[in-house]
Amino acid sequence: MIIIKEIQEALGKAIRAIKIEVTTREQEQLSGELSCFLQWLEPLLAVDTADADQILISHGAVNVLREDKAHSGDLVDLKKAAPNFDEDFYQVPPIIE
Amino acid sequence: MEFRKMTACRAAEAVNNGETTACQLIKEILERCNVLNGKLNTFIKIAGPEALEQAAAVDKQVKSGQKLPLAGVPVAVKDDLCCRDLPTSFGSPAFKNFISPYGAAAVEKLTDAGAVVIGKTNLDDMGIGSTTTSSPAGPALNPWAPDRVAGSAGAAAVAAAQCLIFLESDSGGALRQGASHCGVIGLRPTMGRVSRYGLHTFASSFGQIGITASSTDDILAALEVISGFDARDASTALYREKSAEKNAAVEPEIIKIGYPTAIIALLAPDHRNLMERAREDIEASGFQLTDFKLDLLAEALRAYYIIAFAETSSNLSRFDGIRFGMADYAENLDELYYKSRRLTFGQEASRRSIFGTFILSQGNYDRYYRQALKIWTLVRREFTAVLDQCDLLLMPAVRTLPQLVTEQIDFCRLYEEDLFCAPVSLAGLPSLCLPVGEVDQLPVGLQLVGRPFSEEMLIGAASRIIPEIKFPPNVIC
Amino acid sequence: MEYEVVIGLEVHVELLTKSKLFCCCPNRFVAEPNINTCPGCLGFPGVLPQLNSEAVRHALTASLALNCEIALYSYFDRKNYFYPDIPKGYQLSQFFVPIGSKGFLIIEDDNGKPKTVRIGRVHMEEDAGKLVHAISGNTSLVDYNRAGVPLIEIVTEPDLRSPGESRRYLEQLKGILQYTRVSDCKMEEGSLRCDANVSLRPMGCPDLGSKTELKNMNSFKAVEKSLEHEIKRQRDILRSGKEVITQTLRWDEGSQATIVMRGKLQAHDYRCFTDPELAPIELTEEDVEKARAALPEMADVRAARYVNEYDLPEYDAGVLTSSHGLADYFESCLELYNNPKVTSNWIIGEFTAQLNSTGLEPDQCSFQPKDLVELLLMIDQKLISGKIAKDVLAKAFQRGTSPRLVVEEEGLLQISDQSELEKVIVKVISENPDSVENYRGGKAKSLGFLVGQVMKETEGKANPRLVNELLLKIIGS
Ligand SMILES: [Zn+2]
Repeated sequence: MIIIKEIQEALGKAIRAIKIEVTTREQEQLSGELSCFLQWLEPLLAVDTADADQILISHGAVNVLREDKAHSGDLVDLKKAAPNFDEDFYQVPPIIE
Repeated sequence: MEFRKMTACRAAEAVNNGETTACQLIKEILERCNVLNGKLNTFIKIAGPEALEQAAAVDKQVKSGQKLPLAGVPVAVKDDLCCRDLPTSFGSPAFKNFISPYGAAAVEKLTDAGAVVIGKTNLDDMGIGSTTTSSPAGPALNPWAPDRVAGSAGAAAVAAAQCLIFLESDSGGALRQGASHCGVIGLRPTMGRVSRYGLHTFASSFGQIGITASSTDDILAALEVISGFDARDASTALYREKSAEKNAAVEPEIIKIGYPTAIIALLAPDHRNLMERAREDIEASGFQLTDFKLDLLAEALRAYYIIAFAETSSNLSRFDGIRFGMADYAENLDELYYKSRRLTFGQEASRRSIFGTFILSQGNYDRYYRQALKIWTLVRREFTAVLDQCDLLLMPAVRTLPQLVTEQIDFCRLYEEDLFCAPVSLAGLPSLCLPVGEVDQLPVGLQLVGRPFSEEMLIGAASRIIPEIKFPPNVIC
Repeated sequence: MEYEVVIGLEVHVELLTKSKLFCCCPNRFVAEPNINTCPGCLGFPGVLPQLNSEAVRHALTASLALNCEIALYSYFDRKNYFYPDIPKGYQLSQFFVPIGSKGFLIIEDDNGKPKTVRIGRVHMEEDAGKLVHAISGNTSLVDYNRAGVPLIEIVTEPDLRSPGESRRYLEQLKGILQYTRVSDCKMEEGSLRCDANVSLRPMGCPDLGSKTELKNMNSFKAVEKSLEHEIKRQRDILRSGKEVITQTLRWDEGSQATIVMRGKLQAHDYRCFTDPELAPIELTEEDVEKARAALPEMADVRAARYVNEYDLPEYDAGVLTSSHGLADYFESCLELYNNPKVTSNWIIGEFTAQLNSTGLEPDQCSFQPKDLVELLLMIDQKLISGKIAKDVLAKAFQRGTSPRLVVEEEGLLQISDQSELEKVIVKVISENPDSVENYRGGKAKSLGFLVGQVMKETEGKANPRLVNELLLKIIGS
């Protein structure tokens, strides 16, 4: 069992890492939900997986390689999709290094 | 045209031999589609002018002597599949006006075969879920009982004859459960059979494109069109290698179908009775039946959710408000991320992204993620062993009837609904959901699960089993 | 107290391919931003990665050239983090299983003795875009031209003990990667980038001290300088009894000093997991052996051969083999002209001077091996003097014409006609009676002056040895 306080901390960390705005109330609710979810997962942890390899890629294809050929596409539609595109660049808030 | 009894194959035949034109067909179905949409909320976008333009092009091709396998067939497409000239929302308010500069391979193959895309259907938040209750456009309603959800908007559209073929994604079971809830046929092919290029998927390991229709012939016709190798989706390389293995004709006598007595016992009495009756019918039509069991179903469901959440957190990271989507004014970079991602995702996409991040983070990775990857192996082993003994497996598709629109269901309980579908996705097997009867005047389907790339056998067997497809009695149109 | 310096280098190298790692955008530098982009490398939803075979081949070649063990089964993983130059919200990188591991390079230590530097890993990954900071200061700009360019990262164990060793390691690494044509390794253009981890520990102490990370070193000289600077800084801190703070520092070329980039090095949790969309890379022993057999002769082996086979001084051999292009050029010349030392002198001297002043590579300039040989043959045949030949080489190189054409057009053929030269000599003697007297009086230097005058009179076209001979004959008698 994971202690509530640990879950709250881990949840806060996850939210900061994944960068989704969440209100304090939502975060409280999420914390409860995460506890429930982890509890729901418990049966999985009990399974003996000592002799099982991990599956990493679900489709069975291997060595799917492309020939090294280049071609330029049409940019017009791509730029249009951007919320802030100006003077050939994608614009973001100032980043101070 | 009487769309209620129309199949896609029949429609294409009528267009190809000049009984009608694609334009005529599309005009009529658009009218029907619009009227019904007011009641069912199945379509986010009905593409009237675009569809008529496409239909005119099809007529021109037919006139010039070409025979197109899906000439003039009205097709609906779930809105997580990109179409070149139609908006694609991915189930996000931030993408209301997004026009994708590329089209999904499967959709383009359908239109190349003469099919006409009449619109994009409703879906859950970022395409995640199997109820459409989290859709920014509100839920799609079930044509059999408008106070209930349809599960899949496109399945509802097929059931109500708003379209004849529906193309949609299926990860944990949305397509199959939708088919069950709406009384139509849904096929989830093996990963690698159909190119996923142009499909936004929240979980790349499981997200697959499938077909929903009201006849097995239509499913087969559409599958033949959309199957095949596509350099833009690595998973399709396997099918290229295996395509030589053709499936033999389906003779019930030589096909052994597994029946999971222990799993059926878990069902509510009404559903259990239905499955038992289906078993008798199937046996009566000549198939051999044998019992099988799966010990890891509940664990498989959980492994599915762990892996799907992990992948969701990563797959949805590209939605950052920089190259596409929506961005609010932001003073700094973090603010941009937080705000634009909030604008993009609803509650379920946010929850899964956050929980997925938790699962993958240091300290939890081994406990949850690695364990799920190992259970994945065990589940595959279990299914492979069972399919050594049986050619096909019969499985339930749903546990309960579609939820009431007003019902608030705890999210973990909602995940439990995927108990029979998600493990099949995890096992990487093809599955076809077909209607077998009713519970409380609502249709219920079951799954036929086969070996990898055995879709033809699934379709062939289903065509011997399916009772006549019923039309929802409440849809008067 | 005496301290031991411990340095580890992480080198990123752009691979010489026509297209990017996972899409077909050109892999070539362009000034105009966001020109080499497509839905794939911009991370649009529904677009899947397509692995470039040439990048895999290069990574395998580089790993073998660096004496690595090759992973017969490898794949790409997702390193998840947010930054505007990362379009998908993750970087695809071989995090868990690098294609090459446990390699080494042998370099010279500071005492000129051979020393093994262990290479921990060689792995493939995709490059990020570039951030430009607008002058106005209220926005930052993103250019995705570089996003998705194929890279290999080469990481040493902390085996380097001085800035000099580090520089020699880099020089050798660069030579190998250029020789194998894996990369052009232009540090100034960013196709080779180097980060360094530096720490100090008391002599004899087995544990590593706290380290700093150095970035933004744009030349080998900058690497050496910044390491020297950082070592001194750390030594001063330790000697004053304080502790070195673990942080990331940026080398500032202008002030020749390090600047703190990020305080406290945070252990970032990238939540890595294997990419489910790409197919794994499976190599056979046979594939590896084939690639090994195809490796070109490395610089050190080639240099040794030059010393043994052609009797060249070690210096010449070293310079010629410092770039594969120069060595190839040298060998092409030798196929046509059998005097290695003379050829070497001209390549190291005049030819290299021209390359340096034009910035061209040997295979890019129009002055081909056959042109140099033509020039050398003209000297041997006494058609031109060595001095004139230098001029001819420069002109032929710059004009892109053959040396013979330059000689003919400019009338530079050497005067070896005795009677013609005697006329000039008589004229010079009559104009400089004092010098003649001086020579006869024992001042040997005066002969040189007279030779010079003859050369001047003939605009350098006289054969100097013949002039010498004739002069002696005339004034000596
Ligand atoms: Zn690209």
